[in-house]
Amino acid sequence: MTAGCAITFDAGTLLVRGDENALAAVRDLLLFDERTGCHRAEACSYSAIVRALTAAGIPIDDKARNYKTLSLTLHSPHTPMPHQLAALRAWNQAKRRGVAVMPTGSGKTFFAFMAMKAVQRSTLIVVPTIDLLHQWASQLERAFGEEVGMLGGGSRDIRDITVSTYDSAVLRMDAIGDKFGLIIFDECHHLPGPVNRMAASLCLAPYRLGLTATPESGSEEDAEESLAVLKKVLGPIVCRVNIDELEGTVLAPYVTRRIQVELNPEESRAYQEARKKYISFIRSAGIDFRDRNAWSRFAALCFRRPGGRDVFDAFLTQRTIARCGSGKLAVLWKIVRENPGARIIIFTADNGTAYRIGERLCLPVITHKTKAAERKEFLDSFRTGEYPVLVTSKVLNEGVDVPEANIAIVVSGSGSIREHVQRLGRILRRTAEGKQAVLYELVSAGTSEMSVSERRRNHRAYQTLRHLPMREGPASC
Amino acid sequence: MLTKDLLRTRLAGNYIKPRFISTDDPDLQELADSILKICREGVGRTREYLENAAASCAALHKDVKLAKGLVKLAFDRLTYETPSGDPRELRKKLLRESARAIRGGNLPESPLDFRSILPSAAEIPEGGLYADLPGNDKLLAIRDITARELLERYNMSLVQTLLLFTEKLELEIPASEDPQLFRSFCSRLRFHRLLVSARRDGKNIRMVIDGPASIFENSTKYGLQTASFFPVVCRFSRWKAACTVKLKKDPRRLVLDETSGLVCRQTNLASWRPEEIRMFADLFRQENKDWTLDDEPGFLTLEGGKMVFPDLAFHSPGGKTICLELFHRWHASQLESRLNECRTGQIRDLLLGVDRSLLKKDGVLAGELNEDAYFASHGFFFRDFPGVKNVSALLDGMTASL
Repeated sequence: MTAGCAITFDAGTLLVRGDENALAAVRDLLLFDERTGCHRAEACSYSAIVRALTAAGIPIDDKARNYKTLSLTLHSPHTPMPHQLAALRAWNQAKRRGVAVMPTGSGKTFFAFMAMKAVQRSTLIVVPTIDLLHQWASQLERAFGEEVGMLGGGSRDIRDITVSTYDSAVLRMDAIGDKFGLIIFDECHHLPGPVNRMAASLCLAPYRLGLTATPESGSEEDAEESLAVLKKVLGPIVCRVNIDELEGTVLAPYVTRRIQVELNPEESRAYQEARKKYISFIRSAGIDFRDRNAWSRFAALCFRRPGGRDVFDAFLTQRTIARCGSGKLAVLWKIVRENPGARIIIFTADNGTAYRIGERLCLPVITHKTKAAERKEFLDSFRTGEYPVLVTSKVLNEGVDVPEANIAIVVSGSGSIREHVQRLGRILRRTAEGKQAVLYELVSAGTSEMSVSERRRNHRAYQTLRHLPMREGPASC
Repeated sequence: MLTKDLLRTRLAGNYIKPRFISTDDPDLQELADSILKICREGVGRTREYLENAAASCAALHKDVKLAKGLVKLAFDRLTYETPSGDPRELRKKLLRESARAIRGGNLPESPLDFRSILPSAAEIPEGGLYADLPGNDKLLAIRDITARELLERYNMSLVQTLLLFTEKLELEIPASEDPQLFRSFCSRLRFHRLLVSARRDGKNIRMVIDGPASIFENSTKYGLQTASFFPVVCRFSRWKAACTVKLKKDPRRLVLDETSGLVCRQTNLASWRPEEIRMFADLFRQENKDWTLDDEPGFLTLEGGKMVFPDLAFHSPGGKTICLELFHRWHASQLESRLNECRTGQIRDLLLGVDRSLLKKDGVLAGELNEDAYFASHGFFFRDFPGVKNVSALLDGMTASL
């Protein structure tokens, strides 16, 4: 008779005991830990180990699994849409491990509920922000009628269904990694970082789901590496749905309009002067911003070389002028005036610009500095229509659900394609009344913003005929 | 600790070297004094004011990055309070007026004229709408230190910040070091839930410190724990530490020893004891007058040089010493390993105390313990903290059988 194998969960890893014959079936997944004199495996290898031992006919004494089988009933007025049903089929076929790529507003959350209902195991949902933590928790409670635990933002309540931030999951997974049979990573493009990925590898959940609209980012090499990590800890990409495939049906129809805004003569002069100083410095120092470490090198040289601090000031000056010159404020105001019934989100690249706009136009501003209660109040008032305009820097780029928004104004942003697609995603959620979504992108003419804008628009969501050509804004305010 | 952008290091071949500062340097002491003075005299002032004042002070120094690092460490010691007046209500009022006006659609052509049509705008000065941002928090108190201590902490922080980007720490410490220091060293290891593999190598003990999952993936997940743990190492009179730092693409070696001039200013290291051990020790001393309890025992060296660090030792009037090691719910693998060493005679006369919560998670181990001959005569179970009667009975039983 074959001797059995015993598996226990130990601080985010698995201890696997058994005689040599039994261990041979999972040899590739084990390492002998000389520190403690036993065989150890990654917690995320749990399902592979169980499958391999079962296939080899080796009895398993499974003391690792500490999660429950649930009886979840989904209470929702929504009917699964064809793309969600197809995604669920693909995920089931991949042994319930994998990444679903779907655009914002296409029902990723509801798809996660479908997966939870199919699996019926204790579930941990990992999200990138506190806003999403609360949003998921309240939606889960409504959908399943169960109390939901929260980990992060001051809460440490673990339940059969728990939502955690990435940070808290990394910190606590060595203690709770045995308590969940299904783990879902929302916005899973955050997972491949060397620390975040531990949230997945220290958990033994046999069923895994990643949700994202933008799995790839950065250079080709970075994107390849990120996808490899996602495949290892979550599984392969099981479905990919694009914005344009759902536009007009699942998502709202949209147009994007890029508006070129002239700087006023004073700003233009100050910009040119500062830009010249900055460019001549980076040329003389041989700094190439395609290099990953270029920014730290630039900052370091600014504080080392004589006159470097003036260059740093010049850098800040030209950036501030390009990001929010007086012309942009005038165009922004014109859009607000011309759309009295609209629900508008104004995006900026930095908090300073967001607060300058908020102060000048007496608008609610949400940044990472906004306290939780006020953030909730602003978002709720925006959703009900009491506040028709909301200003934000980056915190609303992803995840937070504001279906009523129909106009986005990108006053400034980075060259990141992901950020730009996510910002578009904020206005694409369909409403019962139907809506036409419009994204305005304000670009300061004759500044580095022109090339930054080109870089971030390099996505199929921005490359079809629905995008109106660039037009000039008012010459001055 | 410092942030990555404030690290001052230099590269020498494959090595990365922290640019330590001299704590005797009068220029640096003056700088540290100036920064601390801004903090001491800044009680009641806003965070923004203090940050600007400190930034100006740092900008005047010839090494701005160093000065900013000192500012960061000094500012980590400040406690702020949010201004008592809550502008949220007034803000809400103005934002609602603004929202009503925008919804109404009758807006002035220029954005610069918008404020003037809002009745409440006069109550809030321009720039005051978000006056309760963190920059307006007021300094409440400072955990004060001397200028020299700030400079010492800077050197330690350089190392700790580098340790955030490491996967494991290699240590070499003479075996002849004070056992009490080893004791606090081991306590801190446990406190930070790090694992150590230790080997006796001649007169020295060589250790590798990392976390449970480190054998699978080279990750810096344990970097913060390692960095927080590190100061205790500097309490030994002689030590060597080495690790590989992955700050950028190319990993570099960091090598330090007692000549690096690092000073551990944490005062609670030696005294830190798990609560259950302190409670047990107090009770044992009250109830058992036959045995002398030593709560700072040394370590046991096994064949092959492996080290074991028991929690307590008991000395009999006849000169016999018996050690006790306790195993909690996260020590399953260590218990298994230790049982094996006891069974095979590598360790003799070691008492094993096992927290019942460990068994809840591991039925196999529970079965093994119940059937184990060594554990039957040398082991006991406990809940929360060990029972004095259990331990006394085992000690007496072992003495009788000697």
